[in-house]
Amino acid sequence: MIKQLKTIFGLFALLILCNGCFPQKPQLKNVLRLSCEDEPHTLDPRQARDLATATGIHLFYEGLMRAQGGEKPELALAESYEISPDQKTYTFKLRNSSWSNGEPVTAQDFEETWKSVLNPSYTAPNAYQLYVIKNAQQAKEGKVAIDQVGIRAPDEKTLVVELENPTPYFTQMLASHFYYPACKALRSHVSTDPLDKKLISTNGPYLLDSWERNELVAKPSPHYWDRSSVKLDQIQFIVSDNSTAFQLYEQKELDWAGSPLAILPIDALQSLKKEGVLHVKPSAGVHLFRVNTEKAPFTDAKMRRAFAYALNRKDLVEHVLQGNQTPATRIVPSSVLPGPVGFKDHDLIKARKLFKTYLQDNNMKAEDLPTITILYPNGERQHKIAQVVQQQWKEAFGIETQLQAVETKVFFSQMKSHDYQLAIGSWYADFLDPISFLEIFKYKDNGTNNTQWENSAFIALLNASAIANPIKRKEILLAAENVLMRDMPVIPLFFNSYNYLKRPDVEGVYFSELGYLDFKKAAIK
Amino acid sequence: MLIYLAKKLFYLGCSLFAIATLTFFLMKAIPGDPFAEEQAMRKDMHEALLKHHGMDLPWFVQYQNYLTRLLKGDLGHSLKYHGKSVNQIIASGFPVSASLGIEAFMIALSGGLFLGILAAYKKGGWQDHLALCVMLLGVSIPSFIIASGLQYLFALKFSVFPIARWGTLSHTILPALSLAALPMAFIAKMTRASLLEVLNTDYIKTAKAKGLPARTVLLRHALPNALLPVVSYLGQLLAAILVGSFVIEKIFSIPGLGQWLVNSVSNRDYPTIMGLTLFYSVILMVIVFLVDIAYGFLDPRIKVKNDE
Repeated sequence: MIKQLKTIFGLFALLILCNGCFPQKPQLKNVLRLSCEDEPHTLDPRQARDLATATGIHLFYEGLMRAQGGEKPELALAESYEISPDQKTYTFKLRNSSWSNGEPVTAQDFEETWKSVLNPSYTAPNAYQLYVIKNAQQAKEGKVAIDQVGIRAPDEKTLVVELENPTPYFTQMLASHFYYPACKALRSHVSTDPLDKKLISTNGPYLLDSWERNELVAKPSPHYWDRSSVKLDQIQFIVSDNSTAFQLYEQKELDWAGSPLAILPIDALQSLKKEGVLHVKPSAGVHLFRVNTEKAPFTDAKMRRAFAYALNRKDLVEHVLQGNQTPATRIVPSSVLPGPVGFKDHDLIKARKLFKTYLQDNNMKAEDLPTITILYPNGERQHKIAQVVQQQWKEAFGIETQLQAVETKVFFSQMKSHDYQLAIGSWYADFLDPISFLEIFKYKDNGTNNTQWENSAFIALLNASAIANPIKRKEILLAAENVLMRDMPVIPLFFNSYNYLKRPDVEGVYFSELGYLDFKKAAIK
Repeated sequence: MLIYLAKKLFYLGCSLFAIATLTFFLMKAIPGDPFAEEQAMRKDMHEALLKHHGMDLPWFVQYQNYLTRLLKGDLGHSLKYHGKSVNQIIASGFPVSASLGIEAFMIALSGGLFLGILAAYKKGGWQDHLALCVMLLGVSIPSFIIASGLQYLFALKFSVFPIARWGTLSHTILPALSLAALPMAFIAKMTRASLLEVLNTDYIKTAKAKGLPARTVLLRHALPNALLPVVSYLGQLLAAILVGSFVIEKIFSIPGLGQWLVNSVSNRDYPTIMGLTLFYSVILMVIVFLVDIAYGFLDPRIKVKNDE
């Protein structure tokens, strides 16, 4: 027996020795290390749906424009562009640039990528982002031939795009990953594996170096047209749990922790704020309640408004969430659409009056109301919000609401089948224009609406907003938002903020309100 | 022996088929959709995606397709992580989970045996009380608390080991200890109880009466028989520990298989759920099979029975 035990321990010692043979990586100087909760799902720009993936796409690819914080996006692969007098035709001149395999990036690359997205046989979840282009939607639905879509490349360096309507935010859209080019191998399905380094080439400031063991590593691309602007030697994305990432940052093993790719632990926020090390970036995202307008008592707008006015959002964000969020009494953040929209927060007088009117109209007492249930996906933050709101409505109207926390996929499934009364949710803009917030509520059958609400005046106003005059357009969009807030199929809660930690020597990372990070000009001081 | 092996392999195949079928239907029965997200897809796109992955077909066609692919050794591709096949996921995650698992297994086994033998040998003494105390703590404290405690003590306070991540031997120590705590306590408890029982049997008394030293009686005569129940537990333990622990992998940011399995369920990543469940089953069954054979070597009575 002793002999056998000795053999076992001998094997164990051998295993430990083998374990110690992990390759040691060479030390580089300008390395940026970030934490992320999840790794990118794909590196095909046509398939990106989540923040981690979008961040990867912005790293490895580049489009005609690039958002860098100014009011308008900067020129990227487009050297210049012209807009026709009717604001419907854009003609881009492309600069000399190459793919990572050395081949030139041409106007045909853009044309073919966008047309591949609009091909009815290709499953592209973001195809609708291209529907501002002439005939794009009809082509995707198979109603017109793909060559009738308003995208043309007369020569290698010229790209002409015709739009359905004047779209003042089109250049903003061009700076999003929805409009980035994909290489020929991906377009022609030679390889469907975006990680296939032999076949897949990219055209952005960085190249994929390795992607294994919870770690994605990027290095500067030698073929990038603006190589001199790229200062970092390496970027490492480390997938880790939020609390672990925070500890890793504290141990100086990370240079960036928290938003947008992860979340800082709520318990740590207060002390970080006191220490003055917490960075805050307002986001183009609103957290809200979706209201099922076909389930009593919320079939009546009075009741929806009563519930919206009764909430004390200031209390919620200051004492519960504590993450520098701002109370939202409208759907579009003021930074995206400045204007006098919105209602008074915690307006108990108005709320109780509306509640009473509803009861009188329906000859009911508060006890006769059907049970009201708040549906939300499992999670610490959502649970806290639900509990606070439950208490606030109890104080305002003396009614009990039920809380129903479900698994995320079950939550979306219930939302889709409209099996809910009130559901906690959020919306983050795809591009910085009010239409990105308002359009989701345009039609009842829009997958993200889910409130069963549709309003002809709202639809007419959104349709009328497809004009070039910015002042008039702003007025129309404000009017549309007013309609939404009058009918209240969604109850706004707060505008979110991104909280993150960053080492003082990290510079030049552009953090967009949309939640994307751009590392092109990032450097370590 | 050959017939015995063939029989075992046949049962193994049948069990795998049953598991594959059961997992397939259970997975389809849980509500939720792999493509459902906050930013809901347009209906036409959603339908196109379901079609693309063959999920619009009747269940029996899907089941048939699945079994056909399985027989070819193709576990399919992840629905969430494009371009990643389940085979690739296993190939990248299993070695990590397995090496950590074996390390934890060895710690649990050596620590457990040592504590158990010590406690039985010094029954009633302070060593026994100390060992019992360690066993009680190991069994009752959840692994994530032990993990956080170890992180605080050895990484944050004394900076002896890295707090998380994977890459060098020192990265493996804290997670292996956290993983090993519970089975170690369990092995120690079993060894102690079993040894005490054996020590009361007649043949041990005879050995003692013959004047053999207490150590020899314990290690040479009592221990081999006392270890039988421990060996049967080791099989299950090894299978469970090899495929990784979700909690420990999450706390220490370890790129193992445990996280993949749990996340695939919450993502409704059907091919990954199916592939990993089957893989886990194979590991479990092979190890149980090996333990059965090992039993034959350890206990002559079983060997005779099998040969008959």
